[in-house]
Amino acid sequence: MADWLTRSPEEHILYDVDVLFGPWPSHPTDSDLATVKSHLARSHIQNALILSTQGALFSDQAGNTETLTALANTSSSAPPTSRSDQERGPDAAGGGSGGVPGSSASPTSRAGQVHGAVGAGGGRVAPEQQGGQPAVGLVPVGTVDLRDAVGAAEQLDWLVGNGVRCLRLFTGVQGVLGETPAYKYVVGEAVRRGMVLLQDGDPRRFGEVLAGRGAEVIFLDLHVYLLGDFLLMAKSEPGFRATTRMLSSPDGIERVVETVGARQLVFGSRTPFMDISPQTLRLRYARISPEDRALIAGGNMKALLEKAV
Amino acid sequence: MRIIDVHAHWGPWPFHMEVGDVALNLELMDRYGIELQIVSAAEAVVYDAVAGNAKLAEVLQEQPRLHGYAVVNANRLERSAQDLRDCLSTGRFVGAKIHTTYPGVPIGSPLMADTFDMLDEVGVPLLLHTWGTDVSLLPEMLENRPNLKVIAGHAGGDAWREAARAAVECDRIYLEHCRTVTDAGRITFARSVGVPMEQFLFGTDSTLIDPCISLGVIRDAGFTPEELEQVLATNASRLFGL
Repeated sequence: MADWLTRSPEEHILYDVDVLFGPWPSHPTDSDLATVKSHLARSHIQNALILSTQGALFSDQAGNTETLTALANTSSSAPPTSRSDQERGPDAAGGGSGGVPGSSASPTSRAGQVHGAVGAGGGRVAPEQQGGQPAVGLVPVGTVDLRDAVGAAEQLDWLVGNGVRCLRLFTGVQGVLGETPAYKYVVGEAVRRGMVLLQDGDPRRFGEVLAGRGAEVIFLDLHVYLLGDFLLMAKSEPGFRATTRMLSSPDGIERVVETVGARQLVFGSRTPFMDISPQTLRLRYARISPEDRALIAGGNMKALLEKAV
Repeated sequence: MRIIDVHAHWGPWPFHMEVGDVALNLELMDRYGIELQIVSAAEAVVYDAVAGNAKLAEVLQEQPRLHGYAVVNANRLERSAQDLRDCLSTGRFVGAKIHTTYPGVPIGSPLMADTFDMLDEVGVPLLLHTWGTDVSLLPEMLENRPNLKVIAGHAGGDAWREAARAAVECDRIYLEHCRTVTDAGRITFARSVGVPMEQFLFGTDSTLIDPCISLGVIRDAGFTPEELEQVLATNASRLFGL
């Protein structure tokens, strides 16, 4: 009767939008990129939108450079997103707190080196084999520190120039409690560049700033207690999406699918800070169609990345 | 594999969800192979303890796979103590439940100390909502209350490291890890600091939370088959006599 003990194909994930690597001082252990990739592979997560924790906590420029450098060093090739996913067979179609965890380097010569390794592939690093484990493709995510956003436009230009399509904001750990001038500025500049925003924190706090811009937003910290508010916003904002991570009630995912459709949900595990199985099991047992499950497990993110290229 | 869920609920919650029908408790139990569930009434937790307990008592008469916690409100101790005894006398309730947030009574409150005195006298297990570093106060609070056994519901929430250390200090503190935010490594950490296997229990917060969330935590914890049996059923069976 213990079916849940064994991972099933309905738990396989095409895109995980919420993954980090690097030190996190308040966490008992740190996870380097290799450890994170191995964990993702064991959990049958095929692609991850990922960035260094350094950009959230210490230096956005150094963190962005670290992300691109680390990802470039994991593979020597960088095929276009759509092609690489098509090559990966049926699963590629989706077959199957107050801040993290809870929930360019400026255009210098070093940046130029990074650009050469990663940029041509639309920011996508090819999956690779890992000692018998399934391959994991990595998609670099950039960030801008909202505590010092004066030079954000230049930073965003550098990220876009390096093929980075997604910008993650860390309002929780950076103490941004509402719509500050820096927050509004960065959001405006990112949306103007067509970047997908990965937004932490309470969606009620940031939804109004993000609305009415045609923004593509993924809320990373939607708690099931706030689902009613999210749905009220999402009905009029087709670009608003949320991860299923904290939609833990027996009908949370189902209610989003019934109300606004599966296209406004994506999978984001917050690896390495959260257990993955609770989230994949909830998706597996959700009373939704296989097609909707495939969209949530990666189809939506795949389409969004292709659109952003 | 036998599974006993020591932290569950019956009834509706004031959030955007429809989870109040007892049929859903049973549907989810069947789906995941949960044999028995110990539930408290959501209404008793967030609103009126006595009224909620009374409604749960009626439900329990028809549901042999469910057992009850009587919710105790420390702000109304005399009334709640009598209500607890009345509930236990039905034979369908097996413990007490205290939430700290809704009644606004933290673990270190004098009201909680008085309530612990009462529970020590009654002698049934207590499921205590723990969420924060005040879980560290529990070992000292249990020192002179030898009959009281406390399940640290949510294992301290954000303060899961403090909860683990509390369980090391006192063998009458049990860890139960249900929570929407499934911080990685909580069980591994608890084991690493020396929490004995006998002090882990399985709870879900169902039907507020789908049981698969806690089952996923268990799956990721990497227990051996023998340990799984202990955590999922044997420890609870021994604690509650089920």
